[in-house]
Amino acid sequence: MKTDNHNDWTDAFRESFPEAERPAAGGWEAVAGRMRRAAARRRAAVAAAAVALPLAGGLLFLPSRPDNRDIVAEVPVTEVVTAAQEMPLQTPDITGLLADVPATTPPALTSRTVPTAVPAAVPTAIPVAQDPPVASQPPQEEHIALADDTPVIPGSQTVVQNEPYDSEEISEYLGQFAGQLVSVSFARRHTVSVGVHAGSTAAGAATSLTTSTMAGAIATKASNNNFFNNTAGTILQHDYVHDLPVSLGLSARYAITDRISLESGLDFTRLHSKLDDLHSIMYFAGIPLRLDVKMFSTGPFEVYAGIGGEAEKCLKATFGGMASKEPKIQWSGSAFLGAQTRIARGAWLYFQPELSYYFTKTALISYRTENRLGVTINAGLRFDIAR
Amino acid sequence: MNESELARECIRGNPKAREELYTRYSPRILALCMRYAPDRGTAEDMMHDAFIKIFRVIRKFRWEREGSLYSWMSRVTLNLCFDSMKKRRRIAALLADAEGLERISEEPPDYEEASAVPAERLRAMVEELPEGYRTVFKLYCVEGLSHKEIATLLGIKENSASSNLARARAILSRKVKEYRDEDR
Repeated sequence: MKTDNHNDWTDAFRESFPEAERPAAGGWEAVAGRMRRAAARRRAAVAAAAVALPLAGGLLFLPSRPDNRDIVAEVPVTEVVTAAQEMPLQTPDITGLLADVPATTPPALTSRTVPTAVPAAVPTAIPVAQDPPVASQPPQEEHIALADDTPVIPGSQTVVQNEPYDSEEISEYLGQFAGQLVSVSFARRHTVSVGVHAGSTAAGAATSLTTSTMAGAIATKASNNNFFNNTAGTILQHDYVHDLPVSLGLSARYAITDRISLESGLDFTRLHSKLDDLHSIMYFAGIPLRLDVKMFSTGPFEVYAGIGGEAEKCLKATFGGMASKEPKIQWSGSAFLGAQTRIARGAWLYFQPELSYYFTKTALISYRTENRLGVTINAGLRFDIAR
Repeated sequence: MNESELARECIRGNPKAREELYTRYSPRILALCMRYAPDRGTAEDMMHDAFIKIFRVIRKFRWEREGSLYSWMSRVTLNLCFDSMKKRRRIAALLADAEGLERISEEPPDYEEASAVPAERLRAMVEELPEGYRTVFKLYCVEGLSHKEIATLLGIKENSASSNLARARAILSRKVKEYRDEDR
């Protein structure tokens, strides 16, 4: 960098600036303290993530509320029976549900002897009628028997005697039923919906707010007193006026399960800032990816929450009429809470506030560089196109 | 502990090495910050930010030769200083100003003439320059950055950096001569 050769008269200027300045006392303690606090924050974030991820994972894999139509498949495993109790077994009222069972009824189980020692938690609950023990079986043994010539429903029988049965035997037995009965239950719904939405982002850094109209959408202008060089301690102070970013987008949402949905699409966002008479305008195209879990559902109303991220590429950026480059992909992460209500068959209106954080700064000063954390209010329509 | 060992220990996260790095280089980093900060307090804050950034990214540093550690640290500091300056709207204004000014074609003074001016007066001359010229002049003549590096740092075109520098040099040349004439 610096040389001792005086090849240029400007070297005199270089030499006029001091090479070193004595820092104020306690500088290292201040730096070390900030680093310790930052490390503590990182540890806290890791700990929070370590707690949140398993919780989120558990939530994701939590079984959804069973649909009435699926009860058929679950009938055989709803009650625990121990032979020692010799109490009348409850027969679920499934006659109506099983009315549609195809002609290929479950195979009947003939007299089988099973060992003792029933685990308490063995799920059994076999559809039975309270018939007397089969006379041909020796006493003191427990049998689960169905007459060969009798359909399981409603003519199936189970005879419980003294000797209990083990779980493997029961599972094997129930498996035969399940294979038959599942066939009459409905397949899980896979819903694909497409949507259109619009949104605007607000953040806490605005110092004053006035309402204005921008590009046909109602936006709010946030006037920020920004330093041009805020990290450098500033060279000059400027008064930027940032319009709230406005987004429009198309999305497709796929219901992976009854509760979990994955959404992606294409968003277009316009950022506009003004400094005196100079306008800074940027247009972004972004691809979001969001995963949400249905938290609450009642009829035509659903509440869901999720997390997501988005990668945005600047399509065009100008400042003061001059083209500018925004080569970096803008990455952001978000957490959101949404509510949607069915307004017509297959059509949903949704409202989705979203807390988003922009990891990448834009080169031009924009609303996002001043407010990296913001709340985006999205609203739109979804249409179920496949089920 | 020499420079490469110091860097290596800092990369390992040795607290003593970090303190040693701060003690050894903070005066120069502070002087660097003071050239671009409006006051000393801001410069101190900038220096703290710079060291925190340096410790965070020092694993990227590769030692090549004596002096490369400070050189790298000064670039990190300058990047931090001009982080917002990359937002190019300001530079657009600088370019517009440069177009509007009349050409100054004077014979520049030699080194002896310039060095005869007191250091404080020389610094004042630089500080009196319009902001864009001042920034480019300091980065080129004081920090020793190339036009390309300045262009990258400020987010401007390379020829904009050189034209602004030429303008700054012309203004300073005239000021030095004026001072010399007054002094006679």
